[in-house]
Amino acid sequence: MTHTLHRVKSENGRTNDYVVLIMPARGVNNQDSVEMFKKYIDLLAPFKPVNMGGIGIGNLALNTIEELRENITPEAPMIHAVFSDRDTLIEAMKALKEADYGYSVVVSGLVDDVDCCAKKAGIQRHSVDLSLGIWGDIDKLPDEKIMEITTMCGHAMVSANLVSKMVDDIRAGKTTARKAAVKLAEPCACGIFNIDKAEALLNELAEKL
Amino acid sequence: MYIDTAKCVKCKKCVPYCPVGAIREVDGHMAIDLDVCVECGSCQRYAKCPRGAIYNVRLEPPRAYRKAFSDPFGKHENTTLKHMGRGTEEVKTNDVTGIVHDLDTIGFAVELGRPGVSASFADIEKVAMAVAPFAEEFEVNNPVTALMVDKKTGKFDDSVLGERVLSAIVEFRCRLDAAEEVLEALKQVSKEIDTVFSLCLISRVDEKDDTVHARSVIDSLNIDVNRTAAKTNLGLGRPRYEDRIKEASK
Repeated sequence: MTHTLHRVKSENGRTNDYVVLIMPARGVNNQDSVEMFKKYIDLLAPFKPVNMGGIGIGNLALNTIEELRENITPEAPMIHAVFSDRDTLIEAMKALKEADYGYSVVVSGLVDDVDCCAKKAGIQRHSVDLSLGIWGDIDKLPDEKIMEITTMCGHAMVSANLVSKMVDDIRAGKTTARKAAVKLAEPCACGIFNIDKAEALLNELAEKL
Repeated sequence: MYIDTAKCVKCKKCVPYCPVGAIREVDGHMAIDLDVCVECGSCQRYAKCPRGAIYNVRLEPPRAYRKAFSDPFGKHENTTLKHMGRGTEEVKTNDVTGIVHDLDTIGFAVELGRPGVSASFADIEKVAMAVAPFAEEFEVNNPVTALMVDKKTGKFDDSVLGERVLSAIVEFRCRLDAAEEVLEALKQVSKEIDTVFSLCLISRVDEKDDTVHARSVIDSLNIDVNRTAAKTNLGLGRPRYEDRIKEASK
């Protein structure tokens, strides 16, 4: 699905959130995927992603890197790593190009920004999937700042009500923004929820009168 | 999903975990509204009910489709596809599969119910039928397509129309020169549905001059692609689609 796409981004949040997705094509090059995914995790982990994982593998809110490696099975369709800054993304891109392991690599972020990063890494992009926004009865949507958090889980497992509860708990001194961000990351089974960004947004929401 | 009222202590820890607000207090008991519930399993899996009061039963079609589409761990056991997920590999492996391999073809993915609103199959059908005249083909590996009884018109089996899912993707390819008509059809049908959809467009990059031809269509609609994310396939997959075609023709 398009789970790493459609992340709502405010002006401040346009260059602090990148998802790297790695996937073989089913029936073409997905043989030995367990060992291949482990190689990709070993390649990306030194860049200290703010989250990492995949469906059925886990995420960094609930698992260590070593546990993610151990959880990989032949059924795992893909893995992800999330980065919070351009420089690290560019270095990770360079490493992926250099390693040339052969799985498809997709980066989610603003289209021109990611293209710029790819060029700095010496990569010519192949194809793009452009988000054209949200259509229909948009009155049903929550506040944009809350959506900036909830849309970081493309399967919509992070509910707007849970974000509001976390904001209330932070204001009441029951938890910290960091702990709340990690809590919100738990239901995102793919490990694409940007914990650093969520922490910053929760602080903003909690400080808002 | 259900709540065992004999076990439930009404702590309400589960309430904020539901992405569609289906857990409520009714007549002094906590209950899950089965019309609203999309069977995503989030309450049972993540709310950590102190009494283990949240449970489910084995779901049969058509209700089973709710879980297959809404639960990230759900499988499409009741269609020919069997795999997990709401969509397909689309742009993710496009460098290897060549799903959109020429510059005159684009792909659309219309994700009904996203973000976090949910959608009925009645609305999903409206959208599928609105774009069907322009679609070269609905994506055969997509679980929404698998539920269509007529893949030319986008008509679904009537038995699924009352079901709700957290989101589901109408996915199809068309010629680039049909893009404006598709977008106009989507604009019209967006006024007729009781939900939202997140829309995206897949296009090859012209490697000769690094342009995205579909960008002109988007610009003409005054859509600011720099406010939302895009996915960029870096072309690192091997074997490339073009090499596979060459190899197959030898």
